[in-house]
Amino acid sequence: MTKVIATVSEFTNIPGGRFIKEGKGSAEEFFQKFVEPILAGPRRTSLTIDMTGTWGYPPSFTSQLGIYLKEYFGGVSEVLEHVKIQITDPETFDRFWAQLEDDN
Amino acid sequence: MRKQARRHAVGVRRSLQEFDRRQKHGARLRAYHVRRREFNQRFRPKQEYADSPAPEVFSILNNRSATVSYMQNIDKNLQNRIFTRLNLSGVKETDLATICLLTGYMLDSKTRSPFLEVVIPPKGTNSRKLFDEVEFDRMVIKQRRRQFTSGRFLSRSDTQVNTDAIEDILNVTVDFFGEERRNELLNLSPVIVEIVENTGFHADPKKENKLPWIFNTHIVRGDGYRELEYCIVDLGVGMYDSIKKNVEKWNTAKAKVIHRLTAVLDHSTTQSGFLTKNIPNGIGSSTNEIHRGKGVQYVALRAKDEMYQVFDIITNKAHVKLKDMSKPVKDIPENLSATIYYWKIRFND
Repeated sequence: MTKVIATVSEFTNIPGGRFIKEGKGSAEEFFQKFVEPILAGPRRTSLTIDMTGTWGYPPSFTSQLGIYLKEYFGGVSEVLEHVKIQITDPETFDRFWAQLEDDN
Repeated sequence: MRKQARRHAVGVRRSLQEFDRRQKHGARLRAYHVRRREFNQRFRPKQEYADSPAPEVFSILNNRSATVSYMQNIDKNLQNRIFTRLNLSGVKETDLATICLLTGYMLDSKTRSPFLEVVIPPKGTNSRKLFDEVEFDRMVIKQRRRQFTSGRFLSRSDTQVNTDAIEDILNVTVDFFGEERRNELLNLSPVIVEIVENTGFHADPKKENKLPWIFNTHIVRGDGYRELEYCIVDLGVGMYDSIKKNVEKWNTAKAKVIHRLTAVLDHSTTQSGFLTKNIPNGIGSSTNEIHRGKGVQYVALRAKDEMYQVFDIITNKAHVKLKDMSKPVKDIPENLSATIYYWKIRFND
């Protein structure tokens, strides 16, 4: 069983919008550069996204990240099963999971 | 000894030659300027500008109708190729948002700026003090300072969110209010990102032209408190018009009929009322995807935080006060094709 961690603060201090075309620090770029490569490794079972140490999260970023995770894992329940979020701000934590279920 | 003396003599000769060369160059330059001045006086008459004095309260926040009307008259003149002087010398009251709007207008590629002359308020007045404090001249020449300590800042971006600029703003905010406020200020970054993404879309949905995107701040040190004002101006079509044109859920035949009926029956708050009612629920996106168009909703939610003293959106005919959504502000008759976000953070010392 393998656990992998993707750390947002290694990617950017200021999480941006949804897509690369909108500027630096986007959810799309983070997923492509930091999440997909480590998920592509062998025997991965669970992913932890470390979202601490940044200047807060815009809802666009968390929403789009959730959409990519759902696409990758195949559904909300699969994401809930395989993905963990580390963050100090409870509001962003709740928003991430709420958006995951709402954005269908 | 002889060798040394010879070297010394050569050195003196060279320095004398250099001195002579410089003197001649200076004389030639002075003569050129004299000739040019005489030529200009004789053959190039001074350009006459139609003087257009600004209202005494030149403020998009406190005197919206007169300010927008004044800017529109200036624009009409420029479009008709009339040399016009935007004369602010009599302005007694202005604000950060209006100065940002003026700068955005001057930088806009659609503005016929060769026909425009801007006279800023004279030295010694309160209005001029504000112009100097927000560094109006740097805004106009689009100069961004990465290292700054005063809390004033300018950035310009076209279609992308400029996270470097945002980081500068965040750092100066923390420097100004103190490291102990960092946690409270964490939601500022997402608010700015959502605003610039939204203005990016609403200002120019087709992305055909590159439009100015002005972001500036202004610090105020009061008795026992500190304030930092922020303003983002994006010229284009304005948020209200953009929603009405591009968002499917507001663009149905039924919605149009309802809107027109509302406008006929009560035009005093049609736009402000629409935005006040719909921003808290999400105003929709041009992509018409259900999960999008919620950025302004998030901004409205965050604006309720105690640290925000003021949080206003001014767009088209509307003025939405996010801190007080209970009663919509009256619309103005003139249409401002821009979206202005203006907010103020205050902490007691």
